[in-house]
Amino acid sequence: MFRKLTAFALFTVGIALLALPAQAASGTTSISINLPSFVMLYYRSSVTFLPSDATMTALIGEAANPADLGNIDLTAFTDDAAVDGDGSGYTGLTSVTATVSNFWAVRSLAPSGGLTEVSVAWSGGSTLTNPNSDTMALSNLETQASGGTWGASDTFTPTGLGPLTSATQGDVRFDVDLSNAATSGNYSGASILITALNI
Amino acid sequence: VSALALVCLPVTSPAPAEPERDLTASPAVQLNHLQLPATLTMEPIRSAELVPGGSMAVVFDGNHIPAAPIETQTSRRLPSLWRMEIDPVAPTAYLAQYELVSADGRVGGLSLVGGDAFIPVAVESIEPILSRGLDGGTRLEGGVSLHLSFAEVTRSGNYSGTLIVTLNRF
Repeated sequence: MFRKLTAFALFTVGIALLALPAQAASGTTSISINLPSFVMLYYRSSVTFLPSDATMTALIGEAANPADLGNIDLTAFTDDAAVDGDGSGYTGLTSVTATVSNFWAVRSLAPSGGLTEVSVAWSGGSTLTNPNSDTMALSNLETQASGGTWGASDTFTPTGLGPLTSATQGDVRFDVDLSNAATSGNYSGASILITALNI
Repeated sequence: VSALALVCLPVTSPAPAEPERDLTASPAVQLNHLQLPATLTMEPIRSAELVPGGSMAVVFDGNHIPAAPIETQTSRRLPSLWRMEIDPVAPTAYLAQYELVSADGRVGGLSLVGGDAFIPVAVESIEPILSRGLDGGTRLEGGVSLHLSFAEVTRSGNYSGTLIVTLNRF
């Protein structure tokens, strides 16, 4: 009996696939779902600057290290070779701009017409200190989304949740005062608070 | 995007002669009434579905965003979306077909209310089942699983559309 039923059922299927429906009924249901606003922030937990010798040479206004100051004619065996310079090369050390590209990235969903905003602020101090109590003061903290405008915050049209390559990435920059950094070594102690939200 | 399901009812007695049908008449009138809700609000997508790990902030290396933890797909299962009283002894095959049309007229997804965003939705048919009604009658029940993909979606809010259910009897 089972075989007969199976055979008939399969036969019915075969006919159904070939035949036009004898009868049909249809209906509609209006379906809706809510997709929430959402912000996902990717960030650097720490940044360590390790400026090279060439970078430090450029910071103090020299093209090369060692710096060849050229010949000087001395008329006496006790004359001054004048290698002490005039100090003009050091003026830039009070405001060295550090720019960190791709410091953060955001994937977000915002309501229609809304934007996502990323802001930066000092958190827990803006001074770097070394074990000798020498300091570097940090100031003028700014951020920008890729292709955006520098400021304490920047806004952009959300790019959604994916693909990953479409995430909005952003940069951070701030000024560093190296004029009081009299000793080499590790300076630390400043932190940046990054906030991302939909507005 | 459309989906379909076919169910065949086994024969338990000789099939009665099928009456002639006027195929130019509205077939929906001739078949038993198909019951399904006029509106259906699915459970909202929760943030926990998007970020199973729960963390909304992730450390990255500045160049390569971690593949985890955002999910860009989720599903909603609607197992008893429709039902229809049937004659259990008739030799019949039923074919359920589904089509989802967004509120702004695009096939295969849901569109944002008050915007132009669109969530593609794959409709997967759940195989219809036979059940017994309170009155002792036999009814056929079916439904769908909706697989929503919002990888390309940038806007939050309410998304809506119309699911068209067609049940064919052969």
